[in-house]
Amino acid sequence: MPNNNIMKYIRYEFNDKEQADSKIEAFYNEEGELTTDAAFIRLNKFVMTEGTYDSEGVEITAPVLSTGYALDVLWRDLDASPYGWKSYEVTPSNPKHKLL
Amino acid sequence: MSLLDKATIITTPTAHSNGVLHSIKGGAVADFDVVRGSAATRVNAEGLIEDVATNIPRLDYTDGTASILLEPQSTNLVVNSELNNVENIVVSAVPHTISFYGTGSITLSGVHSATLSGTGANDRVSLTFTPSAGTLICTDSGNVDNKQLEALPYATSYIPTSGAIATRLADSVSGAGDATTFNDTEGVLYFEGSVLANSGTSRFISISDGSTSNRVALLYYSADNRVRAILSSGGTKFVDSNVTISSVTDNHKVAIKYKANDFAMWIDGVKVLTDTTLNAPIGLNNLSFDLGGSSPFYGRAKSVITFDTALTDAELECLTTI
Repeated sequence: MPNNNIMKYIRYEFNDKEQADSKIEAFYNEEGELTTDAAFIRLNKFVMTEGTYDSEGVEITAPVLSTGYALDVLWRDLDASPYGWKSYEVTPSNPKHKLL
Repeated sequence: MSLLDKATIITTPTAHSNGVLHSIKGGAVADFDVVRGSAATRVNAEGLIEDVATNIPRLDYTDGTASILLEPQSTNLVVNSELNNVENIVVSAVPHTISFYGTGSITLSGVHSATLSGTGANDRVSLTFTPSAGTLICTDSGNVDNKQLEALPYATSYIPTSGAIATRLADSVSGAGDATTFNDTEGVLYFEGSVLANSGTSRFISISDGSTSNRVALLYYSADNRVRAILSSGGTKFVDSNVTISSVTDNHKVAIKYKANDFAMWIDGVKVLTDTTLNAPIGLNNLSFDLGGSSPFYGRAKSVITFDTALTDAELECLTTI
Protein backbone atom coordinates (compact mmCIF):
# COMPACT_ATOMS: atom_id res chain seq x y z
CA MET A 1 0.00 0.00 0.00
CA PRO A 2 1.14 3.62 -0.53
CA ASN A 3 3.11 5.13 2.30
CA ASN A 4 0.87 7.90 3.55
CA ASN A 5 2.53 8.19 6.92
CA ILE A 6 5.39 10.58 6.21
CA MET A 7 5.82 12.92 3.28
CA LYS A 8 7.73 16.17 2.97
CA TYR A 9 7.95 18.47 -0.02
CA ILE A 10 10.90 20.87 0.09
CA ARG A 11 12.52 23.38 -2.30
CA TYR A 12 16.32 23.57 -2.40
CA GLU A 13 18.57 26.03 -4.14
CA PHE A 14 22.07 24.81 -5.04
CA ASN A 15 24.94 26.74 -6.56
CA ASP A 16 24.73 24.88 -9.86
CA LYS A 17 23.51 21.69 -11.55
CA GLU A 18 26.69 19.78 -10.69
CA GLN A 19 26.21 20.39 -7.00
CA ALA A 20 22.57 19.29 -7.17
CA ASP A 21 23.49 16.18 -9.16
CA SER A 22 26.15 15.18 -6.64
CA LYS A 23 23.65 15.49 -3.80
CA ILE A 24 21.13 13.34 -5.67
CA GLU A 25 23.68 10.75 -6.81
CA ALA A 26 24.50 10.01 -3.17
CA PHE A 27 21.09 8.34 -2.96
CA TYR A 28 21.83 5.84 -5.73
CA ASN A 29 23.68 2.55 -5.19
CA GLU A 30 26.19 0.93 -7.55
CA GLU A 31 23.37 -0.74 -9.50
CA GLY A 32 21.83 2.65 -10.19
CA GLU A 33 18.89 2.00 -7.87
CA LEU A 34 17.46 4.77 -5.72
CA THR A 35 18.03 3.94 -2.06
CA THR A 36 15.46 6.33 -0.59
CA ASP A 37 11.80 6.82 -1.41
CA ALA A 38 11.90 10.26 -2.98
CA ALA A 39 11.05 12.13 -6.16
CA PHE A 40 13.64 14.64 -7.37
CA ILE A 41 12.36 17.44 -9.61
CA ARG A 42 15.19 19.30 -11.31
CA LEU A 43 13.93 22.82 -11.96
CA ASN A 44 17.09 24.75 -12.86
CA LYS A 45 16.31 28.47 -13.16
CA PHE A 46 12.98 30.29 -13.32
CA VAL A 47 12.09 33.27 -15.46
CA MET A 48 11.45 36.01 -12.88
CA THR A 49 10.70 38.74 -15.45
CA GLU A 50 9.74 37.97 -19.05
CA GLY A 51 11.86 39.45 -21.83
CA THR A 52 10.29 41.94 -24.21
CA TYR A 53 10.42 41.74 -28.00
CA ASP A 54 9.49 43.96 -30.93
CA SER A 55 7.10 42.95 -33.71
CA GLU A 56 9.97 41.22 -35.52
CA GLY A 57 10.80 39.17 -32.46
CA VAL A 58 13.98 41.06 -31.75
CA GLU A 59 14.76 41.25 -28.05
CA ILE A 60 14.29 44.66 -26.45
CA THR A 61 14.95 43.61 -22.88
CA ALA A 62 16.35 40.26 -21.82
CA PRO A 63 14.42 37.97 -19.42
CA VAL A 64 15.56 38.09 -15.81
CA LEU A 65 16.34 34.64 -14.43
CA SER A 66 16.52 33.36 -10.87
CA THR A 67 19.91 32.66 -9.32
CA GLY A 68 21.21 29.20 -8.39
CA TYR A 69 19.84 25.80 -9.37
CA ALA A 70 16.38 25.00 -8.01
CA LEU A 71 15.45 21.46 -7.01
CA ASP A 72 12.18 20.30 -5.47
CA VAL A 73 12.13 17.01 -3.59
CA LEU A 74 9.21 14.96 -2.33
CA TRP A 75 10.65 12.88 0.52
CA ARG A 76 8.23 10.02 1.09
CA ASP A 77 9.92 8.48 4.11
CA LEU A 78 11.47 11.51 5.81
CA ASP A 79 9.88 14.30 7.81
CA ALA A 80 12.84 16.66 7.39
CA SER A 81 15.78 17.21 5.04
CA PRO A 82 18.46 14.51 5.21
CA TYR A 83 21.93 15.28 6.52
CA GLY A 84 23.74 17.81 4.33
CA TRP A 85 20.61 19.20 2.66
CA LYS A 86 19.14 21.48 5.31
CA SER A 87 21.37 24.46 4.54
CA TYR A 88 20.12 24.51 0.93
CA GLU A 89 16.43 24.73 1.84
CA VAL A 90 14.62 27.83 0.60
CA THR A 91 11.04 29.02 1.03
CA PRO A 92 10.25 31.34 -1.89
CA SER A 93 7.21 33.58 -1.59
CA ASN A 94 6.37 32.76 -5.20
CA PRO A 95 7.55 29.14 -5.74
CA LYS A 96 7.09 29.24 -9.56
CA HIS A 97 6.56 25.46 -9.47
CA LYS A 98 4.04 23.11 -7.93
CA LEU A 99 3.07 19.47 -7.88
CA LEU A 100 0.01 18.81 -9.99
CA MET B 1 -11.08 -25.99 -18.90
CA SER B 2 -11.14 -22.61 -20.64
CA LEU B 3 -8.32 -20.06 -20.59
CA LEU B 4 -10.50 -17.92 -18.35
CA ASP B 5 -10.80 -20.77 -15.87
CA LYS B 6 -7.06 -21.47 -15.98
CA ALA B 7 -6.01 -17.86 -15.28
CA THR B 8 -4.93 -17.04 -11.74
CA ILE B 9 -4.78 -13.25 -12.16
CA ILE B 10 -6.61 -11.21 -14.78
CA THR B 11 -6.12 -7.46 -14.72
CA THR B 12 -7.81 -5.15 -17.19
CA PRO B 13 -8.49 -1.40 -17.20
CA THR B 14 -11.74 -1.86 -15.34
CA ALA B 15 -11.93 -1.24 -11.60
CA HIS B 16 -9.91 0.86 -9.20
CA SER B 17 -10.03 2.62 -5.87
CA ASN B 18 -7.67 4.91 -3.98
CA GLY B 19 -4.22 3.38 -4.32
CA VAL B 20 -5.49 0.11 -5.78
CA LEU B 21 -5.90 -1.31 -9.27
CA HIS B 22 -8.35 -4.15 -8.86
CA SER B 23 -7.88 -7.36 -10.79
CA ILE B 24 -11.01 -8.98 -12.16
CA LYS B 25 -9.85 -12.48 -11.22
CA GLY B 26 -7.71 -13.66 -8.35
CA GLY B 27 -9.37 -12.00 -5.37
CA ALA B 28 -8.02 -9.17 -3.26
CA VAL B 29 -4.51 -10.61 -3.22
CA ALA B 30 -4.39 -10.13 -7.02
CA ASP B 31 -4.94 -6.37 -6.76
CA PHE B 32 -2.05 -4.01 -7.51
CA ASP B 33 -0.81 -1.22 -5.25
CA VAL B 34 -0.78 2.10 -7.09
CA VAL B 35 1.42 5.01 -6.05
CA ARG B 36 1.61 8.39 -7.73
CA GLY B 37 2.54 11.27 -5.45
CA SER B 38 0.67 13.89 -7.45
CA ALA B 39 -2.54 14.34 -9.37
CA ALA B 40 -2.56 13.72 -13.13
CA THR B 41 -4.92 13.84 -16.08
CA ARG B 42 -6.38 11.26 -18.41
CA VAL B 43 -8.53 11.18 -21.53
CA ASN B 44 -11.89 9.76 -20.43
CA ALA B 45 -14.33 7.57 -22.37
CA GLU B 46 -15.93 10.69 -23.88
CA GLY B 47 -12.56 11.82 -25.20
CA LEU B 48 -12.30 14.68 -22.72
CA ILE B 49 -9.29 15.48 -20.54
CA GLU B 50 -10.11 15.15 -16.86
CA ASP B 51 -8.21 15.36 -13.58
CA VAL B 52 -7.27 12.22 -11.65
CA ALA B 53 -6.36 12.52 -7.96
CA THR B 54 -3.15 11.37 -6.28
CA ASN B 55 -2.68 7.56 -6.13
CA ILE B 56 -5.70 6.89 -8.36
CA PRO B 57 -4.92 4.60 -11.32
CA ARG B 58 -5.60 6.10 -14.71
CA LEU B 59 -7.88 4.34 -17.17
CA ASP B 60 -7.06 6.27 -20.30
CA TYR B 61 -8.95 6.31 -23.61
CA THR B 62 -6.49 8.26 -25.79
CA ASP B 63 -6.60 5.53 -28.46
CA GLY B 64 -10.37 5.09 -28.14
CA THR B 65 -10.30 2.06 -25.84
CA ALA B 66 -9.30 1.79 -22.21
CA SER B 67 -5.71 1.28 -21.11
CA ILE B 68 -4.00 1.42 -17.74
CA LEU B 69 -1.72 4.43 -18.25
CA LEU B 70 1.67 4.44 -16.54
CA GLU B 71 3.96 7.42 -17.14
CA PRO B 72 7.25 8.76 -15.86
CA GLN B 73 7.60 11.97 -13.91
CA SER B 74 7.35 15.01 -16.15
CA THR B 75 7.18 18.78 -15.74
CA ASN B 76 5.20 21.12 -17.97
CA LEU B 77 7.65 23.99 -18.35
CA VAL B 78 4.96 26.30 -19.70
CA VAL B 79 3.77 28.68 -16.95
CA ASN B 80 0.28 29.26 -18.36
CA SER B 81 -0.85 26.32 -20.47
CA GLU B 82 -4.23 27.84 -21.32
CA LEU B 83 -3.15 31.39 -22.20
CA ASN B 84 -2.20 32.52 -25.67
CA ASN B 85 0.96 34.47 -25.03
CA VAL B 86 4.72 34.73 -25.38
CA GLU B 87 6.70 32.83 -22.77
CA ASN B 88 10.39 32.65 -21.96
CA ILE B 89 11.32 29.16 -20.81
CA VAL B 90 14.69 28.08 -19.41
CA VAL B 91 15.75 24.81 -21.08
CA SER B 92 18.72 22.44 -21.00
CA ALA B 93 20.40 20.89 -24.04
CA VAL B 94 18.37 17.67 -23.88
CA PRO B 95 15.45 16.46 -26.03
CA HIS B 96 12.24 18.37 -25.37
CA THR B 97 8.74 17.85 -26.72
CA ILE B 98 6.20 20.62 -27.20
CA SER B 99 2.56 19.76 -27.77
CA PHE B 100 -0.85 21.40 -27.96
CA TYR B 101 -4.42 21.01 -29.18
CA GLY B 102 -5.93 23.46 -31.66
CA THR B 103 -5.67 25.03 -35.07
CA GLY B 104 -3.11 27.72 -34.23
CA SER B 105 0.65 27.51 -34.10
CA ILE B 106 3.60 27.91 -31.76
CA THR B 107 6.78 29.51 -33.02
CA LEU B 108 9.98 28.69 -31.17
CA SER B 109 12.90 31.10 -31.15
CA GLY B 110 15.90 31.91 -28.97
CA VAL B 111 17.89 28.72 -28.33
CA HIS B 112 15.89 26.77 -30.95
CA SER B 113 13.94 27.77 -34.05
CA ALA B 114 10.90 25.87 -35.32
CA THR B 115 7.16 26.20 -35.85
CA LEU B 116 4.53 23.67 -34.80
CA SER B 117 1.17 24.04 -36.50
CA GLY B 118 -2.10 22.63 -35.18
CA THR B 119 -4.40 20.40 -37.21
CA GLY B 120 -7.72 20.61 -35.34
CA ALA B 121 -9.43 21.60 -32.12
CA ASN B 122 -9.43 18.01 -30.84
CA ASP B 123 -6.10 16.95 -32.31
CA ARG B 124 -2.90 16.99 -30.34
CA VAL B 125 0.23 17.81 -32.30
CA SER B 126 3.77 17.53 -30.98
CA LEU B 127 7.33 18.31 -31.95
CA THR B 128 10.46 16.82 -30.41
CA PHE B 129 13.68 18.80 -30.65
CA THR B 130 16.94 19.40 -28.81
CA PRO B 131 17.63 23.06 -28.05
CA SER B 132 20.85 24.66 -26.94
CA ALA B 133 20.88 25.43 -23.22
CA GLY B 134 19.39 28.83 -22.45
CA THR B 135 16.13 30.67 -22.90
CA LEU B 136 13.55 29.37 -25.37
CA ILE B 137 10.92 31.81 -26.55
CA CYS B 138 7.49 30.32 -27.31
CA THR B 139 5.12 32.56 -29.24
CA ASP B 140 1.51 31.42 -29.71
CA SER B 141 -0.65 32.36 -32.65
CA GLY B 142 -4.32 31.49 -33.11
CA ASN B 143 -6.07 28.74 -31.21
CA VAL B 144 -3.53 26.98 -28.96
CA ASP B 145 -4.94 24.91 -26.07
CA ASN B 146 -3.36 22.65 -23.45
CA LYS B 147 0.15 23.78 -24.30
CA GLN B 148 2.92 21.62 -22.87
CA LEU B 149 6.71 21.64 -23.05
CA GLU B 150 8.51 18.82 -21.29
CA ALA B 151 12.11 17.61 -21.16
CA LEU B 152 11.29 14.21 -22.64
CA PRO B 153 11.65 12.83 -26.19
CA TYR B 154 7.88 12.27 -26.37
CA ALA B 155 4.69 13.92 -25.15
CA THR B 156 2.99 12.63 -22.01
CA SER B 157 -0.49 13.26 -20.68
CA TYR B 158 -1.54 16.87 -20.24
CA ILE B 159 -0.23 18.72 -17.18
CA PRO B 160 -2.31 21.89 -16.71
CA THR B 161 -0.54 24.99 -15.43
CA SER B 162 -1.65 28.43 -14.30
CA GLY B 163 0.90 30.88 -13.00
CA ALA B 164 3.57 28.26 -12.23
CA ILE B 165 5.11 25.28 -13.96
CA ALA B 166 3.84 21.94 -12.65
CA THR B 167 5.03 18.37 -12.25
CA ARG B 168 3.16 15.09 -12.49
CA LEU B 169 5.02 12.41 -10.52
CA ALA B 170 5.64 8.91 -11.86
CA ASP B 171 3.12 6.08 -11.69
CA SER B 172 4.05 2.91 -9.82
CA VAL B 173 1.87 -0.21 -10.10
CA SER B 174 3.13 -3.27 -8.24
CA GLY B 175 2.59 -6.01 -5.72
CA ALA B 176 -0.13 -8.30 -7.11
CA GLY B 177 -0.28 -11.90 -5.98
CA ASP B 178 1.54 -13.90 -3.33
CA ALA B 179 3.27 -17.26 -3.03
CA THR B 180 -0.01 -19.11 -3.47
CA THR B 181 -0.85 -17.29 -6.72
CA PHE B 182 2.10 -18.48 -8.78
CA ASN B 183 3.35 -21.94 -9.53
CA ASP B 184 7.11 -22.34 -9.23
CA THR B 185 6.97 -25.40 -11.46
CA GLU B 186 5.27 -23.88 -14.48
CA GLY B 187 3.14 -21.00 -15.67
CA VAL B 188 2.50 -18.22 -18.17
CA LEU B 189 2.87 -14.44 -18.00
CA TYR B 190 0.72 -12.63 -20.57
CA PHE B 191 0.64 -8.92 -21.40
CA GLU B 192 -1.21 -6.86 -23.96
CA GLY B 193 -0.21 -3.25 -24.47
CA SER B 194 2.49 -0.88 -25.63
CA VAL B 195 5.16 1.44 -24.27
CA LEU B 196 5.22 5.22 -24.64
CA ALA B 197 8.38 5.37 -26.74
CA ASN B 198 11.69 3.82 -27.62
CA SER B 199 13.20 5.44 -24.57
CA GLY B 200 16.61 3.79 -24.37
CA THR B 201 15.75 2.21 -21.02
CA SER B 202 14.30 -1.17 -20.07
CA ARG B 203 10.64 -1.40 -19.05
CA PHE B 204 9.82 -4.51 -17.01
CA ILE B 205 6.65 -6.47 -16.34
CA SER B 206 7.64 -9.34 -14.11
CA ILE B 207 6.71 -12.15 -11.79
CA SER B 208 9.50 -12.44 -9.25
CA ASP B 209 10.46 -13.17 -5.68
CA GLY B 210 11.18 -9.45 -5.29
CA SER B 211 14.73 -9.80 -6.55
CA THR B 212 16.50 -10.57 -9.80
CA SER B 213 17.43 -14.09 -8.58
CA ASN B 214 14.07 -15.64 -9.45
CA ARG B 215 12.02 -13.98 -12.13
CA VAL B 216 9.96 -14.38 -15.24
CA ALA B 217 10.33 -11.03 -16.92
CA LEU B 218 8.98 -9.49 -20.05
CA LEU B 219 10.65 -6.23 -20.89
CA TYR B 220 10.63 -3.66 -23.56
CA TYR B 221 14.35 -3.56 -24.13
CA SER B 222 16.54 -0.47 -24.28
CA ALA B 223 17.32 -1.16 -27.96
CA ASP B 224 14.72 0.19 -30.37
CA ASN B 225 11.62 -1.95 -30.94
CA ARG B 226 12.88 -4.99 -29.07
CA VAL B 227 10.94 -7.21 -26.70
CA ARG B 228 13.10 -9.28 -24.38
CA ALA B 229 12.42 -12.24 -22.12
CA ILE B 230 14.47 -13.10 -19.04
CA LEU B 231 14.08 -16.14 -16.82
CA SER B 232 16.24 -16.58 -13.73
CA SER B 233 16.21 -19.35 -11.18
CA GLY B 234 18.26 -19.49 -8.00
CA GLY B 235 20.37 -16.56 -9.17
CA THR B 236 21.24 -18.12 -12.54
CA LYS B 237 19.93 -16.46 -15.68
CA PHE B 238 18.77 -19.33 -17.89
CA VAL B 239 17.02 -17.31 -20.59
CA ASP B 240 17.87 -13.85 -21.89
CA SER B 241 16.75 -13.37 -25.47
CA ASN B 242 15.08 -10.64 -27.45
CA VAL B 243 13.20 -10.23 -30.71
CA THR B 244 12.46 -7.24 -32.92
CA ILE B 245 8.85 -6.19 -33.40
CA SER B 246 7.29 -3.63 -35.73
CA SER B 247 7.00 -0.91 -33.10
CA VAL B 248 6.93 -1.03 -29.31
CA THR B 249 4.48 1.86 -29.34
CA ASP B 250 1.89 -0.27 -31.15
CA ASN B 251 -0.37 -2.64 -29.27
CA HIS B 252 1.02 -6.20 -29.05
CA LYS B 253 0.05 -9.40 -27.25
CA VAL B 254 2.98 -11.18 -25.61
CA ALA B 255 3.08 -14.40 -23.59
CA ILE B 256 5.97 -16.13 -21.82
CA LYS B 257 5.57 -19.81 -20.95
CA TYR B 258 7.94 -21.24 -18.35
CA LYS B 259 8.54 -24.77 -17.13
CA ALA B 260 11.69 -26.79 -16.47
CA ASN B 261 13.37 -27.28 -19.86
CA ASP B 262 10.41 -25.74 -21.66
CA PHE B 263 10.41 -21.99 -22.32
CA ALA B 264 8.66 -20.11 -25.10
CA MET B 265 7.71 -16.55 -25.96
CA TRP B 266 4.77 -15.82 -28.22
CA ILE B 267 4.02 -12.45 -29.81
CA ASP B 268 0.87 -11.73 -31.78
CA GLY B 269 0.08 -15.38 -32.42
CA VAL B 270 3.61 -16.46 -33.38
CA LYS B 271 6.09 -18.48 -31.33
CA VAL B 272 9.21 -16.29 -31.52
CA LEU B 273 11.55 -17.79 -28.91
CA THR B 274 12.12 -21.20 -27.36
CA ASP B 275 14.61 -22.69 -24.91
CA THR B 276 14.84 -26.25 -23.64
CA THR B 277 17.62 -25.96 -21.08
CA LEU B 278 16.43 -24.21 -17.96
CA ASN B 279 15.29 -24.57 -14.38
CA ALA B 280 11.97 -23.13 -13.31
CA PRO B 281 12.15 -20.08 -11.02
CA ILE B 282 11.71 -20.46 -7.25
CA GLY B 283 9.62 -18.56 -4.76
CA LEU B 284 7.60 -16.38 -7.14
CA ASN B 285 5.30 -14.15 -5.13
CA ASN B 286 4.94 -10.79 -6.86
CA LEU B 287 3.54 -9.53 -10.17
CA SER B 288 4.59 -5.94 -10.86
CA PHE B 289 4.99 -3.35 -13.59
CA ASP B 290 8.69 -3.20 -12.71
CA LEU B 291 11.40 -5.54 -11.45
CA GLY B 292 11.80 -5.44 -7.70
CA GLY B 293 11.04 -1.72 -7.68
CA SER B 294 13.47 -0.82 -10.48
CA SER B 295 13.09 -0.31 -14.24
CA PRO B 296 9.39 0.60 -14.12
CA PHE B 297 7.11 -0.02 -17.06
CA TYR B 298 5.80 3.16 -18.68
CA GLY B 299 3.15 2.59 -21.29
CA ARG B 300 -0.41 1.47 -21.88
CA ALA B 301 -1.59 -1.87 -20.53
CA LYS B 302 -4.73 -3.45 -21.94
CA SER B 303 -4.43 -6.59 -19.83
CA VAL B 304 -2.06 -8.63 -17.70
CA ILE B 305 -2.84 -12.28 -17.03
CA THR B 306 -1.00 -15.03 -15.19
CA PHE B 307 -1.56 -18.78 -15.36
CA ASP B 308 -0.19 -21.41 -13.01
CA THR B 309 0.04 -24.02 -15.76
CA ALA B 310 2.13 -24.08 -18.92
CA LEU B 311 -0.43 -23.57 -21.67
CA THR B 312 -0.32 -25.56 -24.90
CA ASP B 313 0.88 -24.04 -28.15
CA ALA B 314 -2.71 -23.94 -29.39
CA GLU B 315 -3.79 -22.04 -26.28
CA LEU B 316 -0.87 -19.59 -26.52
CA GLU B 317 -1.57 -18.97 -30.18
CA CYS B 318 -5.22 -18.29 -29.37
CA LEU B 319 -4.31 -16.04 -26.43
CA THR B 320 -1.83 -13.89 -28.33
CA THR B 321 -3.43 -13.62 -31.75
CA ILE B 322 -4.27 -9.98 -32.49
